[in-house]
Amino acid sequence: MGVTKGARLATITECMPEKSAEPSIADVDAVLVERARGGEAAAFEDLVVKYSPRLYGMVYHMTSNKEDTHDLLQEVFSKAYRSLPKFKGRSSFYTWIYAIATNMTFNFLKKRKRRATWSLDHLDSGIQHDEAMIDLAHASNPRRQSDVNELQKKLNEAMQALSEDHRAVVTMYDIQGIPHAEISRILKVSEGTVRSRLFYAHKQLQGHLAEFIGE
Amino acid sequence: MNQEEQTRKLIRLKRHETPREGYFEDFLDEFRDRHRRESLSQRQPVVAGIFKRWREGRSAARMLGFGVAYGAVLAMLVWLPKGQDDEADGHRQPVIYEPDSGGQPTPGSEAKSPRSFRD
Repeated sequence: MGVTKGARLATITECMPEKSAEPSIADVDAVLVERARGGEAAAFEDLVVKYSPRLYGMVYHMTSNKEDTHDLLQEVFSKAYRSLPKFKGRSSFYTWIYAIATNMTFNFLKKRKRRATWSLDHLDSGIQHDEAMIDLAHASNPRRQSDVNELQKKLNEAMQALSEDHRAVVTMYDIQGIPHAEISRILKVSEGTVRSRLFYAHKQLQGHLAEFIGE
Repeated sequence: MNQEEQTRKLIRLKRHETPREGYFEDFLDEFRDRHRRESLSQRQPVVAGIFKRWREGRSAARMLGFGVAYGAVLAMLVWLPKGQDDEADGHRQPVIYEPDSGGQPTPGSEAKSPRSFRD
């Protein structure tokens, strides 16, 4: 291949959109998909490099567990590679692989729910030293000076208390900044449904996070 | 800032939850290894490949049907009634050739053993 992994990552992520895939990005993806279909493994690896950070975020915020996220994401890319011949190009590759990741995550969460041994104790708490988190934890409730761990724990618990459908829209819209229209294409529901789910999810989250929200 | 905006601001903090540095490069390496292993495992003998494709193309119910049908054929081969001539008859005795009586079997000679003929 001749290009270092770091350089590849930098080149690809430079042209990554913040909000959603632009048409030009979709064209680049289409070329990579065609090359991957032709048996060029490096082309698919470029797609893995490009989309793994965003998909990681989606899966992680849905599962709140790093190990589960890692395993699930490997499965997502393997399945996408095997399913490339079925990809007709009616949607962008970005929407297509996001839909695969979302469906696989939903299925995983259903199985995990049935596992008697799994509990909220398995939730990760990996951002205890993040400065933005520390600032907000203190600013949001200076009287109580809640520590970051508690905010982290509460955020994860609040997210896990949502239904999978609600958690998915909160993850995509609030955390990942994906627009309503793109979310509706990924989840194959109307934009109205996306907005409605967001409204009810926010109401529920307000209840769970009341102690961190000012008057 | 109203309560909904504050809630969204809190939730947005989860954007800062990212994996350790270098994670995605290791992730790609693992994916590459996994892909290589899967490709190798797909290169199997032709007959095994044909059988696998045949098996993948069939539902569990149809596979069960094939299994039952195969078992039924085997059972028929094992238990199929043989022809009348081959049936064992406990009352029949072997016919023994007696040269002294002109080559005809004599009454009672059927009970003699082949050894007595040689004597």
